Amino acid sequence: MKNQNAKTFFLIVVFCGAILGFSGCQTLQRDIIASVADEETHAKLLELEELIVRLDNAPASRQNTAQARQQVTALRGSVVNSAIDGILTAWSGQLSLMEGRASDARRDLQRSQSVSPHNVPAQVLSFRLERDLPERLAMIDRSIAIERSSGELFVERGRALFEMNRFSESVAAFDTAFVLLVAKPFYEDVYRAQRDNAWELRSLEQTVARRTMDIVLQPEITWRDLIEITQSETDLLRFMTAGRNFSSDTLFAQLLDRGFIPRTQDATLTEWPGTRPAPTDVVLRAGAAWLLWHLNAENRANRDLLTRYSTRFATMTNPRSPILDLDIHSPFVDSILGCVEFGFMFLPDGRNFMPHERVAGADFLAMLRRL
Amino acid sequence: MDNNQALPKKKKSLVPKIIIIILCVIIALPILMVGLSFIGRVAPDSVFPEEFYLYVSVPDTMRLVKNVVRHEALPDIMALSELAPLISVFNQIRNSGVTENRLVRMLAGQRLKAAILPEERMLAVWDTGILSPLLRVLPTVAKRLNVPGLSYVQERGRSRFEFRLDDGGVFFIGNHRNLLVFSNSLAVFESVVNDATRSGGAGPGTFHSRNYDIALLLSPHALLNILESGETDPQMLSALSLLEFSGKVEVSLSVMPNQLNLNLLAPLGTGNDDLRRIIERNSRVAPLLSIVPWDAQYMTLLAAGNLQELLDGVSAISHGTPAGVELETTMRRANSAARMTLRMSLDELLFSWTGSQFAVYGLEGRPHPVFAVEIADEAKRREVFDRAFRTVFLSENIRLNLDGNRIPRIQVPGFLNALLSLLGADIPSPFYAVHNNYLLISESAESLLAAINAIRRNEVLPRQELWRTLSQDRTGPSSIILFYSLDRSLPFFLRGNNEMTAILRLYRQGLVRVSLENSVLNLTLSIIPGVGGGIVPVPGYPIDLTSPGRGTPGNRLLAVSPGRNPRLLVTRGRDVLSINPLDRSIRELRDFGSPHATLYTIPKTLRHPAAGEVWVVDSFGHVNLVNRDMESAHGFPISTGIRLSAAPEAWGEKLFLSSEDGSVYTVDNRATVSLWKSFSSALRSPPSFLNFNNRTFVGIYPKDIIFGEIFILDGTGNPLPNWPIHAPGIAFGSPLLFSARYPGTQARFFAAFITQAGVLTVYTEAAEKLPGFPLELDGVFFLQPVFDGENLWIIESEGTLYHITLNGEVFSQKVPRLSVREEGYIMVSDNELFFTGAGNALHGYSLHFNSLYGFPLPVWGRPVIGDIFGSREREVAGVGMDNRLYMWQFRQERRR
Repeated sequence: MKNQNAKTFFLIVVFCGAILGFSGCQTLQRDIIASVADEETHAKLLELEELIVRLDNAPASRQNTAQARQQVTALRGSVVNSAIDGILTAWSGQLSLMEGRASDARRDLQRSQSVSPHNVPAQVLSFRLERDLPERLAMIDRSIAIERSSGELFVERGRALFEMNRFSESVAAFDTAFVLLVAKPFYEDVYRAQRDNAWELRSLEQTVARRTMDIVLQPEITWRDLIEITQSETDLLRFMTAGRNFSSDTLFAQLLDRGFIPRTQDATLTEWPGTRPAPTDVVLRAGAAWLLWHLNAENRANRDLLTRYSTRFATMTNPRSPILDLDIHSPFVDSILGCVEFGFMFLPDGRNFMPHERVAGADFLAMLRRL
Repeated sequence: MDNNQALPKKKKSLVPKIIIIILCVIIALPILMVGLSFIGRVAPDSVFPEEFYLYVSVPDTMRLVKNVVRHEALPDIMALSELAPLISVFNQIRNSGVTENRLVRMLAGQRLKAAILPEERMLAVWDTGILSPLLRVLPTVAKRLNVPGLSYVQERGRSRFEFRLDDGGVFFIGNHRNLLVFSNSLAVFESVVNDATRSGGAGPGTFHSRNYDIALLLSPHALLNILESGETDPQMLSALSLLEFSGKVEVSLSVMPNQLNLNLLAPLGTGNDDLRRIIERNSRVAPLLSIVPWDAQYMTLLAAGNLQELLDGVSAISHGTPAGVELETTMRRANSAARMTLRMSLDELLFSWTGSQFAVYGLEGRPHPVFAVEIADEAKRREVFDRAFRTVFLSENIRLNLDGNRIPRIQVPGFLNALLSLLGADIPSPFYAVHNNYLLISESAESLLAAINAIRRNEVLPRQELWRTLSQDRTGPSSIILFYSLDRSLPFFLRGNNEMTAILRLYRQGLVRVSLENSVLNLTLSIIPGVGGGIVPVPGYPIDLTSPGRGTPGNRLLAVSPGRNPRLLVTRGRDVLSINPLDRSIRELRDFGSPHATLYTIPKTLRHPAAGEVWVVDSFGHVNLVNRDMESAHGFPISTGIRLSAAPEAWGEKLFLSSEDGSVYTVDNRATVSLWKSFSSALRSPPSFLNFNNRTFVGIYPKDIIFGEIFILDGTGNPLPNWPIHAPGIAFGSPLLFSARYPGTQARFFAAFITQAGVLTVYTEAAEKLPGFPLELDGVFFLQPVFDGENLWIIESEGTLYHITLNGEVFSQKVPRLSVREEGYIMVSDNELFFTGAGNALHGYSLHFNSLYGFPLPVWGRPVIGDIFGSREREVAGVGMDNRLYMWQFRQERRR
């Protein structure tokens, strides 16, 4: 009996061992079939990169990042390549950062750097995790010193410099990036607007006030805005302020009373209306020309400039306006012709002044600089 | 009668004889001279003593000069070093072609020997060869020359020249038979010229190297002094202290147009047993080299001994240094850990099966390197691996099947890895493969597979063209091979921060081989600048032009006297910067003119180009005339009171200033201000000028929106007949003046003008419009056209580039990412077109609308394009929106 029990026990052990052994073999048989990253993989990576880069312009939400996450996961399982694994992990970290999960992003960054040191997406993630702007810029410049041909790093440089109000340098970085990233045009699609903003702001000092920046970036400005940047960026109103800070509305009233601001911006009218404009009225090109020309005359202490062209027309037989959409009898004729002749303003299509078009903040700043 | 007839015959026979005699003398004299030069010749090295610090030998001085001047990387080397001012000298030598002249090479291509002797004495000797008879007339010639500091001395029946330096030093110069002798020591000098006093002896010895351009023999003491000075690695110092140089060290250099070969021979000895084992082993050809893939971009190969011997050698060198202590500790810990975890000592784990060849290399496009180890005993290796994998600390994962190849991986088991990562430890898990009798290891399975496939296809490094160029198809026995490309790796000997490493880093690719034979170390270094042409950054650039509180640099760059002591000019706030492009030094003119004024700089043309004078003007009419070092000329600066309505311009010797009241004034170099001409409206752009057929033409556009007119004037300001004419619309800029061969005619004067609305007209001198004009082009135009010698080019505000023939044909192409406003710029240089717009990009196009390779470049505004250095290469310089000055050079394609 004892022998029988021992035998049975032995058989059970052997049988279990065989099962385990068989299972072990099965485990061994579960190979990872993989391939070297091929063209198809690289195409998918590019598609994923575009998706993630475009998310920079989209509001951060899990819904937006969900599709990108799915693609990251799918790609991870199919390719054995530590370089690609590192990139995918870094992108996963960027998605986490977009979702507001910085600690997950840091974890992904560490993992990405361990499997594929110095991969560019990991570097980008490390920059974005760094909150101190000067330190971030230093990190970027150290990377660029090694990877001079990486447009992605120059994009980050452009972004960092923009946040530091170093707008000229930001333009330089973005323009370099777009040339390097000509094979990935989606970068320019996404970051062109920021680059153009940097261009508009390029003449502003690094210490420029946020309010001024906001005005300059507006596609249209009011009289209040116009007076504000004229006062902050130039000395053209010093004759009225004696160097003191006046509120924009106070200056508006004074400028209106002294005729520096026209009572109407309708260049087709030949008589002033009875209504008064308001500081919140949107500035049109005709109104900007009027103010600039009057400031120019004041600046040169030459009030003859205010009738420079109308007096000449008065002496001519059959005078014709050199600008197609400007009547020689318009009260704006001297201002508009003067601004164009002196180069403060241009003819947008080479022939018409377009007096009723709205003035963007950046355009008005450029006009002020030419004065 | 007969006598009269006989007399003329006598006269006839004398003249030819005299001519023949003269010819014989003329022919015989040089032959005699050459013959004399062979009598009593002395070998240059026979006059040198055996004791010296440094001995230099140049077998052929003209060949050395020629090879150096023709060396392609020379301008880059000069740009980095204090030799920058000599660039123009080398360019003159190269341009003169003197090194190609056979006669010069024959006469001057003799041997030069020099030495630095103890007590700071030096001796140099030049073998004048067949010119030696001329040495006798040297005193007579030298007396007639008036060289400051040079005097002729006759003493005790011997004569010599003495050249006195400003610091009191004296050089003694004289001849001894065929040798021209220089020395800073009278005793040394006399020992050479006086046969009787020379001690005699074997001299410095012979060189083992062949076919070199210059070679040095260094005494061991001198070599040690050189190596121990400066930033020498502590480990190197330790190695030197253990080694003995049993003889003189020989260094030879061969200079080729696009390669440098350096060879070092040093007889070694040592009292350290570990190092002796390595030194006394003669190098062999390393078979491992034949399994390195040919797309390896860098490689280090060691075949100097087995692993134990190498570690013992390293330990001996590091002994006593901090690194040595660390190494010993690490080795002890590794041994203990191996025993504890793998039940094997390091000796068994590593040393029992490895051979004597080791390598690490990186493949193109792959970040992870591959390690290769020779397997001396495969059975032992398998046994060691099996035993290691049977422990709980290591396992082998063979699940990966990559493109049909099973690639095993050494890894720490999952549970242990998780534990280690909690502790912050990251243990690498490399893949490995055994191929023939080599173990290949890499963190990347893909890299490993790529390496193996390359070996299978016999695509190996010795067949690579770059390798063959660097090794000159001679890969003999070597103990150490280092093959590098600076795009991927920086070898340890290039990590320093001194002139030598900076120069060596100009050579992008190199091969170092070290071999040992009979205890003589032979080190060869072959380096090339790297292939490829196109546009390459000039070393040392970009330069940061910012200075705290001084404003930002302008974007209009100008050049003064390019190629002849050049300067680049740019404004920065109220400052003017004059930059020497060779040594990158900057001189400043600070705080010029009125605050808030616009500052301009214009080079003064050009009767005295060497003077390099520059006009500096601000928009309130303050004028200065400065030299290239920003020093004001006599009588300047002045305040003219003119309020500028346009940028100033310079022509002839004068500066032209356009005033708001429509007047144009001139200022000359005597600071005289004169009214040149008045117009009814102010100029908003400076006049344009042209010299053609010995006449001066001036183009002016006073910008009047109602009555705009275009003037073409002569040099005195008088309008040409039929001028002015009515401008067809408002425009920017002044008319373009040019000369061209209109079809069927000789070269004539023309003027082109385009309005803002795109109406383009080309006028003759008589103000007639060319047939086919005016043209109406689409778009808005902020810039006037440029002329390439045959056709006009114009850039439109939204980036359309127009090409217009003088027949009125129009071709156009849109340039991506370009918009052009008033800050734009366009120019033609060397049959290529360059333009900038509203952004940080300088575009370059061929005249066939093809974008030039390497463009756009990251600068804006007005660049300088031309031969700035005088090196017959063309450079591009410009200021970027990041406030830096950039410079590139157009290079001819380099081929291997």
